[in-house]
Amino acid sequence: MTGHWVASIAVLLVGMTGIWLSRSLPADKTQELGTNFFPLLISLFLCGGVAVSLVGFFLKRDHALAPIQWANRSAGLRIALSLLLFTSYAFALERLGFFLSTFLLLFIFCRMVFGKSWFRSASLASLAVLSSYALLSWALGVRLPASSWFGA
Amino acid sequence: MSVFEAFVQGLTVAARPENLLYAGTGAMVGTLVGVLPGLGPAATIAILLPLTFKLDPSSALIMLAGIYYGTQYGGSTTSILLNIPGEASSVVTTLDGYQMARQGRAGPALAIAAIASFVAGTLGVVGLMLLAVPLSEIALQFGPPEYVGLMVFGLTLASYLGTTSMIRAVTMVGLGLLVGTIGLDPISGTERFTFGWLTLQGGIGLIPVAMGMFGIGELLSSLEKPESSQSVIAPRNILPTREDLIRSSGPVVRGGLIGFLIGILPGGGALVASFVAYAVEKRLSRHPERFGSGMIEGVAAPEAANNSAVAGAFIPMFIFGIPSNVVMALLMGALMIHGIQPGPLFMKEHSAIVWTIIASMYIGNVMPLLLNLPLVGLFVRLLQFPYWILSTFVVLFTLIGSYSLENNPDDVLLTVIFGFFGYLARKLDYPLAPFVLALLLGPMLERAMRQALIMSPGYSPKIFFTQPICAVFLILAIVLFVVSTLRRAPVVDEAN
Repeated sequence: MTGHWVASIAVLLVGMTGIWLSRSLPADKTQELGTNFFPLLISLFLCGGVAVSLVGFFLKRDHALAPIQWANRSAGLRIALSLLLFTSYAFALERLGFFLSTFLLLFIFCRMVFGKSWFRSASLASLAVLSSYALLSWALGVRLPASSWFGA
Repeated sequence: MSVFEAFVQGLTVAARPENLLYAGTGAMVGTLVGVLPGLGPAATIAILLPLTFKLDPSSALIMLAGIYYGTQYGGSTTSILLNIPGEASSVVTTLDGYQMARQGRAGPALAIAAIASFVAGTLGVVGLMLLAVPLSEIALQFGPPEYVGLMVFGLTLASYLGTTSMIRAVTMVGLGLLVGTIGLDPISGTERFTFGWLTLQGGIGLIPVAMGMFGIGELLSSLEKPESSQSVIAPRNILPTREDLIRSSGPVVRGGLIGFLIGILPGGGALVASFVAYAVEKRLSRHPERFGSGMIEGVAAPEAANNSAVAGAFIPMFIFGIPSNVVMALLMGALMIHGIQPGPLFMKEHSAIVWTIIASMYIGNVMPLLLNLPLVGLFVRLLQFPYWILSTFVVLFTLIGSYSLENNPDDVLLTVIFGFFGYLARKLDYPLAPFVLALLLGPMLERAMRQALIMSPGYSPKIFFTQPICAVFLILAIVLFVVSTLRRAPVVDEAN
C-alpha cells in the first residue's frame, strides 16, 4: 500500500469519525441550525472527496503521483527522537522551569540528533538559553515559566 | 478626512523613532531569516510573532510587515548567489539571477532585485492607498450569503493557485475546516470535540498550528537531509549599468502591476505573481529563448511582482477580513491577538492603525533596500553558519514562542502535534497553506453560513444562489474546481 493510499484512507477515517462525533452533538434548535450542522457538513464533504479520489486511484492504476521518499533508518530515528524531545519539553516546561528544561532540550537535541560533542552541545544550549531569556524576558517582558518542582 | 491627509497622519505615527526602529528591526530580521533556505515568510512570521505580543497593534503590524518585506528581499539574495531560493517566491529569480552570478554579474542582479522590489513595492502601496477606501464602502454591502460566497471562492482559489493537485488541496481545506470546528460553537456556545481537554475549549489557535506546521514540520523534513556547506560566489560589482536599468524599467512596472492585482485575489500570493510576471516578460520579449541564461528582465519582473503582491494582499484582509494567503492569515491573527478584527468596519473604526500601517509600508520598503545592498557579504556568511546551530534556535523560538501565547504548555504540545502533521503532509505532497487558511476562515464561514440559512425561509440553501453576488462567487468556485480537477495547475505550493 503506498503512502498516498494510506493518506486517503486516513482522511476518510477522519471524515467518518467526524460524522460519528457530530451525531452526538445537539442537532437542531427552534431558532437556529444545530451545533452539529457545520462539522457534519464538512465531514460528509471530506468523505465524499476522498471517495472520489479513491475511485480515481482504482480507475487510473498508473496515476502520476510521485513516489514518496521516506526517511532512511537513521534519519527516521532522528525525527522520532526530535518528536519525543519536543513532546517531553511540553510536559517538563512548567515542572522543571524554563532554564533547566530548555537547556536539557537543546543539549540533547544537539548531542543526539546532530551528534555534536558534549562540550559544543552544552555551550550552544547555554548560549541559546541565556540569549533567549535576555531577549524574551528582559527585553520583551514575556513571562517564562519557573519550576513547580524546585520552586524557582 | 481625505486619503492624503489620512496618509500624512499615518506617516507621522509611522515615522516615530520607536516605529522606525520596529520597521528596521523587522526588515533586518526578515532579511536575515529570508536568506535561510526553507524558512519562508510564513515560518518566519510564525516564529517571530511572539516578539510582537507586548507591542501596541500599530507597532506590532509595522514590525511584522517589515519582516514580510525583509523575507522577500532576503530570499532573492540566495537565489542569485547560490541558486537556492531563500523562500518560495524567489524560485523564479533563480532562473536568470543565478546565471547572471555565474557570469560574474551577481552585483547587478542583486542591485536590480533590490531596486525592482523597492519600486514595485512602492507602487503597490500607492495602489493600496487609492483602493482601500472605495473597496471598504463596497464591503459594507456584504451580508452573510455574500461572505459565504466570497470565502468559498477564496478557499477554492487558494487551493487552485497553491498546489499541483486540487483534490489534495481541497482535502486539506476540509481538514482545516473540521479542525476549526473544535471548541465552542460560535453561535450557541456549545462545546464540540473537546474531549474534556480545557485547552481545546477556546479552539485550536492559528499560531501553534502555523508554528508547528511551518517551523517544526520544516525542521523535521530537513533532518532527513545531510548537513552540507555551500560554496559562495563573491559578487564583483554592485551597481548595474545604465543599460541594465533601462532594460529593467518596463519589467519592473509591469511586474509591479501584475503582482498587485494577483496579490488582491484571495489565494493569490507572491509566488504566483512572480511566475506570472516572468511568463509575461518572456512572452513580450524579442528574445524569449534567452530567458534562463542570465536576462536582467528575468530578475527584475519576478522581484517586482513578489514585492507588490505583498501590498495587494493587504486589501482583502483590511476590507473583508479575509486573508488572501497564509502570511496574511498570520498578520490577521496578530491583529486579533491585539483585539482588532479586520473587516468592513476596520477602515472606519481603526483608520489610524490602517493608515499607520500603510505609511509604514513605505518605510518598510526603504529599509530592506538599504540593508540589502551593503550587507550582501554578511548574508553570504550567515549561509555558511552550521545548520545545527540554526536549527537549535528554530526549535527554541518555536516551542517557547507557542508557550508564551497564553503561558500554556498545551500549546507547545499542539505545536509538536501539528509539526508532525505538517511533516507528513509535506512528505505526501499535501499543501499546507489551504489547511491554515481554512482553519482561520472556518469559524467565520460557519457563522456566515448559519446566519444566511437562518435568514432563508425554511433554512433553504436557495439563498446562496438567489443573492447575485453570492451566486457569482459560488459559480466561479464551482467552475474553478471542476476545471482544475480535470487539469493540473502548473504551480508549486508556496507554503512548501
